[in-house]
Amino acid sequence: MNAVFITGADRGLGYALCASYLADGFTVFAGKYLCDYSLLERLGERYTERLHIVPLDVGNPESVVAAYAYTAERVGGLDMLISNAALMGRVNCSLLDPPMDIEAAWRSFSVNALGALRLAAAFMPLLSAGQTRRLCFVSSEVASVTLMKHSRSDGFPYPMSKASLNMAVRLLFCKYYPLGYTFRLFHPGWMKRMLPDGSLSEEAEYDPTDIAATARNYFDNDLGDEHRLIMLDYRGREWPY
Amino acid sequence: MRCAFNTALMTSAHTAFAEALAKVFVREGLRVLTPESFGVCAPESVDIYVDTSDSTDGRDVFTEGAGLDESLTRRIYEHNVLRPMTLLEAHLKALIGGQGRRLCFLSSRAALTSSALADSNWAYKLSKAALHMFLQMAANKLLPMGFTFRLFDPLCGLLAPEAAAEAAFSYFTRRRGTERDNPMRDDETRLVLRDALGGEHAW
Ligand SMILES: NC(=O)c1ccc[n+]([C@@H]2O[C@H](COP(=O)([O-])OP(=O)(O)OC[C@H]3O[C@@H](n4cnc5c(N)ncnc54)[C@H](OP(=O)(O)O)[C@@H]3O)[C@@H](O)[C@H]2O)c1
Repeated sequence: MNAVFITGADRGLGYALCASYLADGFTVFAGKYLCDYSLLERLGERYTERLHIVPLDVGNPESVVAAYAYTAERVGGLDMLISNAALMGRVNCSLLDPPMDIEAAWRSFSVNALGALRLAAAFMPLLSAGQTRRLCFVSSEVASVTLMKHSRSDGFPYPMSKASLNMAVRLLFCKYYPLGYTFRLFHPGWMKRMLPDGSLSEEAEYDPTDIAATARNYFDNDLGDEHRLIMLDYRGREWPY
Repeated sequence: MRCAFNTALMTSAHTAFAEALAKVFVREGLRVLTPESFGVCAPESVDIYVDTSDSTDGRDVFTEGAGLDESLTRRIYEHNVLRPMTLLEAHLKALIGGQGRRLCFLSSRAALTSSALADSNWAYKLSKAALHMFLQMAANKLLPMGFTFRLFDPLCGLLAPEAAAEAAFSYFTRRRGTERDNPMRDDETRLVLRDALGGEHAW
């Protein structure tokens, strides 16, 4: 049976991916950080055997190790690792309106970039025992230095962290592609926020459930040019990173 | 030709490259300020600013299972990212008060995402990716205020610090890409990384 691990799975894109993989018969290990949302628990009522909710703070190395141990006790191998968790939100970090919240840059980095790397490092043994050996990372258009030329934003920490995430994926790719692993780097577009009752905010453009479908198209299928790390968006367009 | 800057602020002159660069600045007639020279009284006016933070560590290796060393990664990130952010914020007023408004930072072509390799220094490369993004976003804010940016790879280990310092001086103090008979052509709005042998590297 196919098994995937998804981080940041209790809402938004992560939750939509869980629901989609479960509906297709996968065993899903769903990383859950805070306890504000109970969408996963509700999903678990339908998939008692195949959904495992795993407490996980990717910003905390011990929590990643514990999540690995929890998963390894329940499954012999993982086919796919989907690193989706991210710390977003506004912080006061404007050069022209000091003081900048410098620690916010570290927090974003520790969750969004290092978190993905911690996860990949820890879960390699389970991935190597799986069938597909695929690592998927949800990034963003704001990871691209070239494209940020047009941004007027003051929120340094999030784009900085996503730029570091892309670097982390690039380094993992260089190390593990020659060993038979494949990689996905995905920009999901501007998604609506999922609220605790599962409804969506008005703001933003896309429904995470629709984006999960396009993400799966990219994550699940083999590419003709796996030897090249690319960042694709929800429409299959390639982005510089 | 006399260079257009009078006062240079260097965030440190402790590495061989930074020390050599400070000597070139002095030779070319600039007043060089370092944190040691101005103590707690930050200078009021600075023309050219050089952040020399560029920290690597031989123990910065990725291992399967353990990943990166957490405290070392924090130290490298602090040195290469958080410190440059804090110092730029602290000296921005003096730079606005100065004549040159030129901001210079160090990086490495090994730390460009499009071409980075997995050999070593993962935390360093992650930190520089963040710094590059910070500088691009800072440039978006500061270019309209007349600031210009230089990002430089001294090619440590390949080139003698003195040779790298001469190249840095030339790159840091010239204006980039304006043509006398074509003033519309100006390359200053592009943030790029150049190395001490003049090579320019794409993100
Ligand atoms: N939304 C957009 O428009 C957009 C655009 C570009 C890229 N993206 C990227 O797409 C991905 C999903 O976005 P989304 O809109 O679905 O996000 P979201 O609704 O804000 O969900 C983020 C998820 O990450 C989890 N998380 C936060 N900190 C964590 C930590 N330290 N450890 C583990 N999990 C943590 C959250 O858990 P809690 O619920 O417990 O807080 C939540 O499940 C993210 O990587 C984001 O950067 C989003």
